[in-house]
Amino acid sequence: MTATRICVLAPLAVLGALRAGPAFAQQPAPAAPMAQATVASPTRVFGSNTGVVLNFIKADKTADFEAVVAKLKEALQSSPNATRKEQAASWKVYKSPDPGPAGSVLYIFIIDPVVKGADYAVSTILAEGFSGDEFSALVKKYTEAYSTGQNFVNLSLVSELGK
Amino acid sequence: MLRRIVVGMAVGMLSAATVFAQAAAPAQPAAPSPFVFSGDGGVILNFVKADKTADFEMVMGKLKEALAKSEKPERKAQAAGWKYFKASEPGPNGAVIYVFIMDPVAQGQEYSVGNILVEVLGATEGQALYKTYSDSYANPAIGALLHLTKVADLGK
Repeated sequence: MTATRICVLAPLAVLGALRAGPAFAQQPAPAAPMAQATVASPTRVFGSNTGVVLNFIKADKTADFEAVVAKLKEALQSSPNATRKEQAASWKVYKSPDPGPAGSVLYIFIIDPVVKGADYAVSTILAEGFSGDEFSALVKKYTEAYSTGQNFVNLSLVSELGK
Repeated sequence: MLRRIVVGMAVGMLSAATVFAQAAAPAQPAAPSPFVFSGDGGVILNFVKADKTADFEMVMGKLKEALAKSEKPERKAQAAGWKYFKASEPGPNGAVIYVFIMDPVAQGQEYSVGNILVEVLGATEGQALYKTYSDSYANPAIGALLHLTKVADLGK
């Protein structure tokens, strides 16, 4: 067999192009809560069984992003809403060591399985767990951490190779 | 940075040198396989031709069989954390995106489809399946190969 058939690109090679193309509709950085009481946060509901979110974060803001992730975890776990606990149970956050576009750092949310109909908007969840200045500071930190935005990918399971 | 990376590597990268070895070359330190994940998780975005998805899924079915058939515990460990998905969103040039998610990763193991097929099913069948598999790929074949470190498990 010849060993020239499949071109394997370096890590993240096409991701930059995907972000600009139709493959993954790129979402802008999450909106800051300028007027929390009057402006509803956009909802993030997955239409599939599994969801992946690619987050492109400024290299000098990774600590801020991870601090917000820790607060997100706190908000989910302390929520009296059972749906939030269910969301937490299948929501993991990963970091890629490979450099992303424009020097960004890629964080990936893997949500498997998705909680049907649940809203995964981080700002909405933070608003449920925190209020006032703390909430505003968290969302500011969160939105300012983004380099170029997010990509949401809806996935349908084809197979679990171990089952 | 990313745009400059578009360098095709041979399938040899996908597969261990022992399986798809080419002509003997002067001994050099082997480059680490990109299909060995050193972190907690791995994600591979595969771009497959729209008219070849049945072939791709057929070979993945054979891969599942091979992993189950293997007597090596490390293959069982790989199977246990390896799922694959089809994305709703279209890929570049009409390709269909299949996503492998390895979570958890079996440490030190190579997630090379070709190598596993050959190892378990033998060279003839394994290489025939691998040809079908590789023929199903669009160009580029792989959009991202991510070695991931877990930052948080929001439920724990």
